[in-house]
Amino acid sequence: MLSKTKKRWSIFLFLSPWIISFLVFELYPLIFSVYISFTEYSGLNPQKIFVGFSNYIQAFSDEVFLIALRNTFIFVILTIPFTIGIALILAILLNNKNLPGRNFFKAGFFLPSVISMVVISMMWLYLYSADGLFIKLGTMMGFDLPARSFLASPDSALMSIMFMDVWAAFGYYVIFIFAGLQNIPEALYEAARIDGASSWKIATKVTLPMIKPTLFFVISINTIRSFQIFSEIYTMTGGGPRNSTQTMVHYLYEVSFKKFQLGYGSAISYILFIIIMIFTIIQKRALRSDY
Amino acid sequence: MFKKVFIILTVVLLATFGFAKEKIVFWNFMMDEDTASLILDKFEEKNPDIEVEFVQLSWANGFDKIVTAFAAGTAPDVLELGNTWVANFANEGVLTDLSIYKNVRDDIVGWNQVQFNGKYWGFPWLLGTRAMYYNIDLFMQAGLDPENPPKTWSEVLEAAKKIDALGSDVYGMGMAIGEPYSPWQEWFLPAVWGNNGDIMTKNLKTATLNSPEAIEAAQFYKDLSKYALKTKMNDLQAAFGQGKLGMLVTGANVISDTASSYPETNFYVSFVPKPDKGGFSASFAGGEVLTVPKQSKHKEAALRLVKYLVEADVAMDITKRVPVIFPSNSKAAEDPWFEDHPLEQIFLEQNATAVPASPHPKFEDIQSLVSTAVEEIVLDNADIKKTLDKYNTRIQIILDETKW
Repeated sequence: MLSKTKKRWSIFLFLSPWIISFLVFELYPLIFSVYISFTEYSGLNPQKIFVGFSNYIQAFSDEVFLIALRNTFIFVILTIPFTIGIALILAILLNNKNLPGRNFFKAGFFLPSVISMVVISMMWLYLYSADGLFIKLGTMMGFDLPARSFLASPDSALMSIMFMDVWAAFGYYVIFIFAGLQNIPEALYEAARIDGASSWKIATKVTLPMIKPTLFFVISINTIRSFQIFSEIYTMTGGGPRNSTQTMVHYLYEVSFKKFQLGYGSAISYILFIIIMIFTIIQKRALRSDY
Repeated sequence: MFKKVFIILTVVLLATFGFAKEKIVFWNFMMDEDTASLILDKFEEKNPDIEVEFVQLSWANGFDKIVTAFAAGTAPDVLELGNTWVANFANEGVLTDLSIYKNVRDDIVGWNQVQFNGKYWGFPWLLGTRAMYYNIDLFMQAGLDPENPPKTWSEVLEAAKKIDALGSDVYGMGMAIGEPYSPWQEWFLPAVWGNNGDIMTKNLKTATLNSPEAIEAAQFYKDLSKYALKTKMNDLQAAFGQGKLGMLVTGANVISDTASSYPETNFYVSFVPKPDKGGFSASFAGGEVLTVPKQSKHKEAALRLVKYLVEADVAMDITKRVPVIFPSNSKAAEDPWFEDHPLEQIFLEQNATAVPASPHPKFEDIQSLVSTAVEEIVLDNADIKKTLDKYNTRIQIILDETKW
């Protein structure tokens, strides 16, 4: 009996590094930020004034917040279909055993995912610049483009970042979907073929249902990551020009650390949390996944 | 026996604590490890009772680090701040009031950079301003005299027009847009200042972005934009290096950047042009200031370090290694180094008429409105009066809502 208790405690002992760091660096900030989201708190000054829900109410009459909300939704809604669509098509192509150089493609697609987002951003900052590759290519093809960075104009800045993001993200999901495809037993396809199913039928009735859990996983991960877009914006545009690339996480950073409104910033982060939660629940329902 | 041990212990304790150095922490952006050890070693030699722990912050995340340190109560004893941040921190009551030094140190210029609410919250340390670069070859091709660069707004317009006509790939002027700060910083707002205007009154209560002075400056800026390449500052600096820009108002870093990346480009620097009648050659005053956070427990030692750092020869040691910022100490002008660095000397002299941004705690919000106004005027061709009226109203709302 004694040894059993001892054993139990020794498990906790081994888990304690994680438990301690979780309590100090995750649970405590989490609870603290809920608390300060109901206060007016500058971060510099220890004084916290309780203001109830007014930070949350303020957000929905704050013009810049609404722009950030809209941009974030545009970003999420327009990038996810492309990222996942491209990833799905490429994964199906990779799944073909007769494809020569399969490993080369797998590694190549995945490559952008191992590079830090800041490095990718710096690279594309140059590609999009007035002196960069895209303007040069465009001029060579005879388009009359103004010598202006794609990121300097409010009409093109957000689209440019979205394009870059699709490029940088799809490879990561190719690998997940590919792994999902590999898990489908060959016997299912054989059985379907024997029963005379067309390739369309096989794709919709065998492949898709079988990779649904994987698809749910990649779509929800991608949704969360897209809602939280920050480093691209921070490195490339700082939310500008004229807030055209302002997103929720970038705005909450600005509010908290440049304007010293940590209470308001925390409230924005909880609004984002609720939005992401709703989206994830909807996706889970829509894909009727048990995962 | 016990007595003996006791005596020895007491002596040892007294020795260690009696001669123990007072340790102060110094956070800075401008000096790298090498420069800092050169400068701080000399300080410790002169002040054997003080030990300085030096931390270099990066522009990328230094600001966040400062904010979190204040929140956690672990602010350093001496802290370098960008001049535009001073009002913000002073308004939060976390800095020590250093007003008593303002009157006794008239050898230091740029006190207006640390002023907020009638008090002075630090020492101006290193000042970086903007001046006008111009391409000598393009000037000659356009029939302009490179010995005699434009000094007034109408001369700039004339020169920009002539250079712009040289070819489709050549522009008279560079105009920054599409970024948070440079659209107002690199020339629009300085043009307003030079025209004796500002975006708000001195008491920081009334917005004046639609004053006649501001409208006049905006009209000039809009006229100039016809002959300008309008893109991000980095692109403009590259374009200037490649010989595509006639003129560009920007910081002193472009001297060495252009010389090393584009050695074939022939350029010189002059003061920022002023309005045709009245006014002055205003430029944006960027500056690094030294503050002593209220949390510091070693204020006396901290001030000794601050006073040492603003000495002319000490600050010059930094300028010589990082020739983009110049000492706030007016004695530095006598340094023979400037004889070999005539372009840098123009920047040093431009500092005398450089203007810092209004010390308003909500300046961060206000400046982004000014950037937007500038972009709407030069990029979307918006009506000047209507645009300035619109943003003036919005600035006024911020001013009215600010709690002091």
